[in-house]
Amino acid sequence: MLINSSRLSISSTGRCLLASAMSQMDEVFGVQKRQMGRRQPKQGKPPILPPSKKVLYHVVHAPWQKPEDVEELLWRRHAYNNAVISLREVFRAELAQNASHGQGIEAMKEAEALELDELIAQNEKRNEEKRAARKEREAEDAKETKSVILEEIRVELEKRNAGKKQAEDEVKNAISRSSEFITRSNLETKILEALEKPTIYDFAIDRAGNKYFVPEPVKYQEGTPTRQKGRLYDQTLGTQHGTIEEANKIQQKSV
Amino acid sequence: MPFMHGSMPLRRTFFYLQQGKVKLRDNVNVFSMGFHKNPTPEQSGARDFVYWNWAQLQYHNPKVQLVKHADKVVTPFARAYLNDGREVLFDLDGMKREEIEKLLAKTLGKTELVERREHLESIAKLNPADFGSKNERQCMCEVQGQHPCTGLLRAPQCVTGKYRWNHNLI
Repeated sequence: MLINSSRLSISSTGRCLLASAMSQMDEVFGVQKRQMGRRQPKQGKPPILPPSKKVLYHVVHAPWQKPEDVEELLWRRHAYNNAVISLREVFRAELAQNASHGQGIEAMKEAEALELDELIAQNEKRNEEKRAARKEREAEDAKETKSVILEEIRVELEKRNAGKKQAEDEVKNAISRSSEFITRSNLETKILEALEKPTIYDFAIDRAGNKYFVPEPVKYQEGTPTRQKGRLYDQTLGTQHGTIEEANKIQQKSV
Repeated sequence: MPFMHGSMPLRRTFFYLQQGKVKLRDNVNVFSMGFHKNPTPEQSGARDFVYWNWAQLQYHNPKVQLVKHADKVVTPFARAYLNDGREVLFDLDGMKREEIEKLLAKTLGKTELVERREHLESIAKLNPADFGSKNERQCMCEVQGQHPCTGLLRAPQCVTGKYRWNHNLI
């Protein structure tokens, strides 16, 4: 509505409004415009202007020194320079003398090289000693290791021999017990023996090793056996005896 | 920060680095050392030396290449390669850290003779007319009788660079 009205109007204020609205829209839609404007002038006098009267023809006159002071300072400077030159000559002569007597830098370098050779030789000697000592120590270690291994082999062999002997004994026992084994010939008698002496495993046992048969085993079953067995063992077993050792003690006391 | 625990940060302090005693000669180009990460009691000296003194070695010998060989051979060793092609081998088996340090400082370290020679050479190289951070004086203004730097005392207008005698010339 605003844009339409500004287009229609001819006045300058309307054009300004339009321009400002367009620039705002540009900023909103991300179109950047460089702000062109006048630069700030540098501070001070423009270069085109001549120097001011205060500066122009203002010559600095250094104050003149007294002639006797100048003379004295010149003399002192000469004396100082001559002293330095003499000292340099003295030092040069000293260095040359040292070099000629074998005390110069070159001689020191040679001495250093000799010293280094000597130190390296000492190090080599020490290395050799250590090498020999290590060889000896390793030989001893090898000997000790060998003895340990041999001992281990001996123990293992003894163990195996013992196991072999035990197995032999077991076989011999089995062979000796084989006379009582059940065969076709003695089957009838063994069955009769089993009927006479039945072995019953239907019992409870406590920590003291007491067996509780419920119901009490009978040689021959009479009547109809009870069906419900669940509550038969509904009793606390073995609390009066404690551990096996305690039970054994109680038994020994009672005996 | 695990690095800040225990002795780790201690051996990186400037003071600790300065305490190093092994200053290798100029002859030594490369210095290598073989040690074990899980050492036996005989091998532990080399490992301790690497742990405690390696940074000091680096600090005091910036121009020497230092190489570490971990778990390469059975015997801990140190080997220096000299600039004339020679190799110096050190057997460090059964040595303590202090002994290793002493041995290296004695054999490859700078002796009194070397230090005296280097001192003399530095004197010979010194020229009192030179200026700069590596010389005796930084600036001409430190010489007695010369004009001090303008940072300390303002120079008269006539000696500054901006001064123009005749403005009509330029």
